[in-house]
Amino acid sequence: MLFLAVFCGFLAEYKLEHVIEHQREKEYANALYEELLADSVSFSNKLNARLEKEKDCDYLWSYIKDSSLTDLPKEFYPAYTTVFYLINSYSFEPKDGVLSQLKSSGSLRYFKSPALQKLFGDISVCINNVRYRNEQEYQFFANPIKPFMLKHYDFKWPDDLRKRDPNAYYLDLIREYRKGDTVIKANILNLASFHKDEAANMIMFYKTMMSSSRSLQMSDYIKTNSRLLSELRKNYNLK
Amino acid sequence: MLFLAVFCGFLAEYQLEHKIEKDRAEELAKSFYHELKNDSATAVIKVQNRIKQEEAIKYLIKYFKDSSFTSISKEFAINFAYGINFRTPSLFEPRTIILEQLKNSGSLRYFKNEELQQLIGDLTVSIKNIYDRQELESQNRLQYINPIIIDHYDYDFDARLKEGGKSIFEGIKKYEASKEIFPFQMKGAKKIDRERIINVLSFFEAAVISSTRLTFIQKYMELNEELLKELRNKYHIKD
Repeated sequence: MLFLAVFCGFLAEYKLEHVIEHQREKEYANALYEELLADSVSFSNKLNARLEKEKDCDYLWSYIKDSSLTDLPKEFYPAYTTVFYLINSYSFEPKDGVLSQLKSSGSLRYFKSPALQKLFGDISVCINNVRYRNEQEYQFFANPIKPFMLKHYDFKWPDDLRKRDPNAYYLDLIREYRKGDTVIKANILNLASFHKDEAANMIMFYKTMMSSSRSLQMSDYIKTNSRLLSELRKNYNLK
Repeated sequence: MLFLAVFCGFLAEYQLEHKIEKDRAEELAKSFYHELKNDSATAVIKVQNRIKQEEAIKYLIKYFKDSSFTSISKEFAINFAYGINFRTPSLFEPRTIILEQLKNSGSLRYFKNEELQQLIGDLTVSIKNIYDRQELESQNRLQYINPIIIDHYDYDFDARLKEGGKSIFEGIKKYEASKEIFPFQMKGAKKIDRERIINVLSFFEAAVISSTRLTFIQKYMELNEELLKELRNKYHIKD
């Protein structure tokens, strides 16, 4: 009887461990699902903003190549600002809090499905690749964009724009400015040393870099994110 | 009797712990094996892309040595793209999610085999070396290669490659296979410093791109192969 009691206790502990592991697996799956879902929403906002910025690159490129730079139209400075001045608003930083926790705590082993495990590896690579591209874009901003801006960009323009609403985001202010009739005048500074060809090529280089990040690394990330969401939904009945 | 029962319970728990550890080691070995297997295929592709890039740079060096820029060949334009314009195809981002989990959670201890532990240590070093090398490649690119692109690349040619919404990679492949010729004009052809460009490209090809492949990626591939073999032997994993 006593042996049976000890044996039952042992079995119960064994079973309990399984139950706890299963519960943790579900909790982690849920947390990871929420994290990935939030990221997919944030991704779609960034994607739209980046597409707008790429259009601004095209506009700026053709304007600089073919038009007079002494009397700038209203459309010039908003595009000049979004392309060269606003950098952080366009970078997509994937969240990986839960994934990092899974990696660091050894809890990935709760997920037995080979498909899920492969997707975890894939998403981790995708996140690193997106971060690497962000770093590359930032480096390009640091040089050559920043020195170019310091020489040729009129910082009075964003300052005047900011006066319209000191607490608003620049992107929103620019959106409103584009819709309205008011014109904030500004020029290209040091026009005599402004090289059209170089500036135009710098814009296209930057655009190519941005669109490559979007169509390669960011696109890979969102595809993997979506596959992972679907796999998690399938395995854990998540809604 | 009571003592015996408690002692048996203790023995059973001890045995259970062993079993759990063994099961975990098998689970981790399997996941790790698949992670490595995926990466070995990726590494082969990256090596092929690097070889193509190296060949393209060699072509460019030769062209800069003795050819005219008044009428640029189709081959030059294609090699310009493969040699210095593209960066993503040669970048190798190893999957490390299971490896990180093994290290961070202390699960490496499940692998009792010394050789396996040694190989995992070596693999970690080789991955870090690849990251360092790729960082160095990026710095080199930022400082020396990007200025060549900004000063001399023809973005009208680039736009033609991407006509119809094609990615640059699809565009160049299609162009390569076709008999069509898109004009490519070197921007700032008059101020090309041939000697400097030849030196920059020679350094980039020999000391940067190919040396990463021949030393660091090669080492990673060898270790990856050894680890796969060891995991197959030790845990009877089948492909």
